[in-house]
Amino acid sequence: MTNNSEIDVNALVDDHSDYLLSFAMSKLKDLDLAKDLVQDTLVSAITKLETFEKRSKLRTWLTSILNRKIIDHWRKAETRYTDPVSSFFQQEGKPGHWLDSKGKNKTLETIEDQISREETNMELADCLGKLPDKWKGVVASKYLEEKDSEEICKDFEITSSNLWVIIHRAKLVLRDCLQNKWEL
Amino acid sequence: MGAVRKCEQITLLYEKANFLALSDEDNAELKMHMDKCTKCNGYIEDSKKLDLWLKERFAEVDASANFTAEEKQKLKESLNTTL
Repeated sequence: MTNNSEIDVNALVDDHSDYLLSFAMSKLKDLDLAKDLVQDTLVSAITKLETFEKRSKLRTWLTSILNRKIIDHWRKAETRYTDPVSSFFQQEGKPGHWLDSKGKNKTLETIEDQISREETNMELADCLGKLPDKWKGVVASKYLEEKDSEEICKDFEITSSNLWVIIHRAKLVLRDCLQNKWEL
Repeated sequence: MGAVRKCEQITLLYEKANFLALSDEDNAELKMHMDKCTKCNGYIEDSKKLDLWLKERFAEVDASANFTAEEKQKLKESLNTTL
């Protein structure tokens, strides 16, 4: 495949779309958005195929385009968070623990532990959905890709101070969200 | 409000320390505060739990994330229109 006239669109979709969707989902955890970005990726790929150098595999090239689109989506997203960030520091007299009853590390996992972990995972996924998109992107870059701070700051065009504040605030929001769920 | 502000700054310093080495001055301030503040110790314990859960959460691959046959057909039609 060296130019547009030689593209086998059917093969492109059949061979790569599901892989790209899984990749996008691992970062975004949002199926509709992931599908949209995969479609955008394939459109970009067929319109820019002449820039594809066969030094890498087609799938690697497609994944790099998708990755760029995901970062662009997060970077352009609104970051303003208008709700009070957290009541954590305002709670006089409370010791500060909020996750004591959940997620204790255990060497032997019982069925109850496993159910509890799955519940926690679902609740965490729901709480992650409440973060502003840009924060989600920063969190995904840190915990999924384990990028260092320099790379994350470059991708998201933020300063290192912004990065620590985002991680700190994101954890406080997640903490409040989980605590609210467990108090219900 | 002074103590509240201090705890926010200290826990922020803790997050910063996860990315890079703190200065001696910051390190000393963090240690001194942690020796006496149960609230910030609670933050750190729970922050570590969140680190673990977030890593697990993002490590999960959603194998069910596939395009349906119908979606793939639409995708092909859309891409063919673009060509």
